[in-house]
Amino acid sequence: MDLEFTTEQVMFKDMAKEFAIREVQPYVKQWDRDCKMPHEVFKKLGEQGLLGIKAPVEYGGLDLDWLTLGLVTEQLAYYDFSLGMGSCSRTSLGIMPIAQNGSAEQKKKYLPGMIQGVLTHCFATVEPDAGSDAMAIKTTAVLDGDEYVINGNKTWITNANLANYAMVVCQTDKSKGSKGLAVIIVDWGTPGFSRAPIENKMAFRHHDHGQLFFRDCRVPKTNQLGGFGMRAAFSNVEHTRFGIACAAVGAIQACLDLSVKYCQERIQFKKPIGSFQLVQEKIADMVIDLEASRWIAYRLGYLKDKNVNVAKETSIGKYHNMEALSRCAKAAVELHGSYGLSDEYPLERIYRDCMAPIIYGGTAHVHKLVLGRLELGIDSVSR
Amino acid sequence: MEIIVCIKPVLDPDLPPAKFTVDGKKNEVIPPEGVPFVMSPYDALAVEAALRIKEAQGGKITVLTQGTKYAEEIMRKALAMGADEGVILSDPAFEDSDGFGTAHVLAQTVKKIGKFDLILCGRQAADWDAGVVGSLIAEYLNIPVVIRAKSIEVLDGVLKIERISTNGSEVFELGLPALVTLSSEMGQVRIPSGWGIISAAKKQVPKWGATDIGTDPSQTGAAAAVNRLVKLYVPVYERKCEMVTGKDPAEAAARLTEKILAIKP
Repeated sequence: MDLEFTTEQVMFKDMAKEFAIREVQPYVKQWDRDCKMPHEVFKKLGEQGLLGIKAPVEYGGLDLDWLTLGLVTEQLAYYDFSLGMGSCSRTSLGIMPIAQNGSAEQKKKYLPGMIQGVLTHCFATVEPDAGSDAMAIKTTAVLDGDEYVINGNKTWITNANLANYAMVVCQTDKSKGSKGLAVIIVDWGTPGFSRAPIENKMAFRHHDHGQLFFRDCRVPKTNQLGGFGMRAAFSNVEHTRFGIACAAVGAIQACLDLSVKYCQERIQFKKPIGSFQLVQEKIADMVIDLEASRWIAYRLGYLKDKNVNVAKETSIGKYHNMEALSRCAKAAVELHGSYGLSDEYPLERIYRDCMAPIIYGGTAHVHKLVLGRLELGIDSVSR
Repeated sequence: MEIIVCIKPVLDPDLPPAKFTVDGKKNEVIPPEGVPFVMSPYDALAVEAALRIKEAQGGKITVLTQGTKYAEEIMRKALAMGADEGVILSDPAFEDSDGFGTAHVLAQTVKKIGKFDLILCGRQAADWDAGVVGSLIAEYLNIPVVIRAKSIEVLDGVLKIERISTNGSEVFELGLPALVTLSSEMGQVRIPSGWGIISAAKKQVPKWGATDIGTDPSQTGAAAAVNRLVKLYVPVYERKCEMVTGKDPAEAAARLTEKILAIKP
């Protein structure tokens, strides 16, 4: 594996860092306090080309490699873990489903706006009774002539209340089981489509999450995105997990950098606290977590660019890096003592925010089950 | 409008002070490991000014930088911001030149390029802060120079420049060709876009040496340096806190004033 970065990759990494220092770092504390961020940030990301890294050139994208996207995500996440995630998921769950599975009309309608950051998507899978168990999806799409009639509820949907369009995972024929699943695009404003915010969250407070409701919501049959089955519905979830693995690297680096600085400067018992062996142990653990996470994420990007099956590496990356981040964020808060509890430092925010992707993008348990199944050849989930 | 911009790689001015160290015996800064050099922020302003002029009335921007290590990185950044071409000036004869030597190298390069209307530089490099190279280039080329500009416009072939002064600002008009150095009051520098980066990464950047530009060996390198660095050290700052009190605020203020006036510079 040759992981020498190209000139282009290094320049994208540096550019994302510069962008984050200017457009994110000075404001993120207030966004978190206000529980909202200006949409302008995504337009600026679009102007930089950071939302079109994996998008086709013919629609205004850059059509670059996964590793570049990973490096950019890491840099953004260093300053705001949730924005790193949010930016990357615009590619993984906003652009990629349409770029890979969309019709020519769908690509023309949605991709330019997504790349520019003027359109917002949401990808709606989770339901009140269907989380890890995607097969339990109850939202139905019934064909009636040339239209699908959609009924059902979705919850914990990122960008639910900002989205110009929703990509809704529906069951078109329950008798076919997973082969009946399909993704159907529903534009905001379509009769029968309503939504509501989820507020007072622990994590990702300045990002929108909400519920979607579909009541006899009719859309043209041509709004179906790709074909049928699990692959059509969830093929892009792997990309999101890659984004999570990379964002975690950025946030771990932030935890380490802040902790090193603090432990060098904070004097207790007439010595910098960094001179105490138990403090050094925590720093050492963070360094090890950072290096392991970084190489897992970079290798995953490298393999994705080789177009090989990365199911195993994706689960390792998502699981390991989020567990590592939660350890490092906890250690960093502890090392900062009471200051770590205050939003004077970003650590309490990282500690809260890291709980979100521990749960979404496949829970830690789900990824362990995936790895167990891949290694043993035995599926733990029987239906 | 043919614009030439001179840029220099410097140790990142935002480097944490703890990472800044010097070798007192060799009188050299020790670059911290793993910390890349960056384009001097004042020079980035010069690139930005050139781009704004080009956007207003068209033209071509050629960027020059001297050095080997990190020269290509900052050149790629200038190209990604929107500059059209670049030349890296690299030759063992140029190493350890002082401001006079560097200005000679840059002036010779401008002469080789031949056609130019405007040369833009940062007001000073963010490492040594000497602030002489821009003025010396103008001297060697025998063209007018305005330093520390906060804004620059080209109207009907005439440069209109507002430059900062001790008490405010001054407005100059001058003909072309000319050299202007830019100050941080000019405003924010753009961040290269993804499309700019892709374009910049593909561009060929030629390297010119002493024979290419015809420099005079007696004017470049350490031996030709006019300035001699006597001592390089990191100053030690000591902080001492003294509480000044009084029976009321007026008395405390009076005592404080006495103490301030007693401080000898």
